[in-house]
Amino acid sequence: MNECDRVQAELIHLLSGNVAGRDARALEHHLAGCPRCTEEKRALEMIWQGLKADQVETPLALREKTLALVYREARAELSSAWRLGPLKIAGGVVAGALMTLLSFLLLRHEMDLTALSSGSLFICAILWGGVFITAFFWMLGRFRLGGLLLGAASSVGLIALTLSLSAAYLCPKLHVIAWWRASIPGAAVEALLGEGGTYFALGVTYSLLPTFLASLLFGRSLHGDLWKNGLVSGFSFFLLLLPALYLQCTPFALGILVSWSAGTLVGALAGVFGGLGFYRLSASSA
Amino acid sequence: MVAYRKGELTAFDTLFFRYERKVYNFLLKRVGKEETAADLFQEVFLRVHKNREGFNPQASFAAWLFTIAHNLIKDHYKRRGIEVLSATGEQAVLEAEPTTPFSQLARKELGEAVRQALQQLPNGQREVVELSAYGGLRYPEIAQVTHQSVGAVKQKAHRAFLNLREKLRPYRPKGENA
Repeated sequence: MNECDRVQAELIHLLSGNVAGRDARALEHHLAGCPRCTEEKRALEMIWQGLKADQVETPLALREKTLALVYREARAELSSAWRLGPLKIAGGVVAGALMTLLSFLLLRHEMDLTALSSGSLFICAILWGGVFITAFFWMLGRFRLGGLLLGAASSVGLIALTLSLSAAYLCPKLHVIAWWRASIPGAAVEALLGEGGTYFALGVTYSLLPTFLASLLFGRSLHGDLWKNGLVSGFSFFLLLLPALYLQCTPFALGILVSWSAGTLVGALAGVFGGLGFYRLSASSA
Repeated sequence: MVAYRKGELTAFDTLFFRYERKVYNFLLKRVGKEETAADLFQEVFLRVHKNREGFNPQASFAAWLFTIAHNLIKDHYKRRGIEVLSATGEQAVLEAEPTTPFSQLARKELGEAVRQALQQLPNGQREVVELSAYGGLRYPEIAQVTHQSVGAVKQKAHRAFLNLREKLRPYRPKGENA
């Protein structure tokens, strides 16, 4: 293949805008000194212009009809956004109640329920159930706020909570605390910050990995701003887990609850941002 | 697109007016009937709206848009049991010996001649040309829409234009023929 053959093979790619920069300049340089290739380029330009000439305007009526159709669809979405049908409301309530029951069952060995009066326990169960029901309503209603899909954020919270409670069931906190205190960093933190530091670490332990995994799983649905998605997802997990922390801390001082909650929140946010960031990095490099 | 996904409907208008002509022409050339093209046109943009959450902001919007159009055309032909084979027929005009040199053809006539030649290309080559000329897509985007490699797209584009040049050779005056 000689130089002219090579140039002529590239001409259509040049005309269609698929050759640029140094390659385009090299072709133009050859064309400047080669009448045969210039003639070939002219012939292809005519064909290209013929293609461009054979275009029509979209009929005005079609444009208007299409825009009206999309706007109608958008308005319908908006009007149904904050309404749930009776079936979804019932589903949300049942799912929320079941989730509350499951959570109590998973944590029953971790809680000292005798430290609470029946009335307080009942109120706690109602509040916890209410948080679960709200999370399920977000999921079922596909609510949006500022471009965020609240359902996706609550899904992260619910999945992470299930993982966290399962972890607490399979590996109770007393074992984790014993292991932590026996470790070098654990002993150092305990010496420096006391029991509060240990429970902070406990909070991180039970929240970091579950939220990381849940964010990876739902990374595709968490569209838009990374910070907004991370904060809403992290806080939804935290609010779902907070009643569990309260019930487990009833025999302890308030400071333990505060440390444990702080560790949970830090771990949750780190897990969510880590998982979502990892997902987006992988998606963009794929 | 990012703004549109956040709920700014005016951003949809911007995207719509930027691409509506390209989409319409691509659909019209592919299906050949105005009514069908109009139906598909509405469906394309409706799907853009409904599936906006699924769009990856890092990807090319044009490639995503034309993938929707491409898939709708495929479904359209599948529903009608029509296989999109190499274009045949439509030879009448080019069989006659043209008397007007290419360079002197009026713009409209040029478009007509090229369109008729395009109809005779194999479907794969025709599709690449249509996505490039009417859709304004670059080869990597065409590769994404048609699920083939960039090399394959480049090769089809090259062969398509060689074929078009050959089919339109009668229009070139003796002096212009290479």
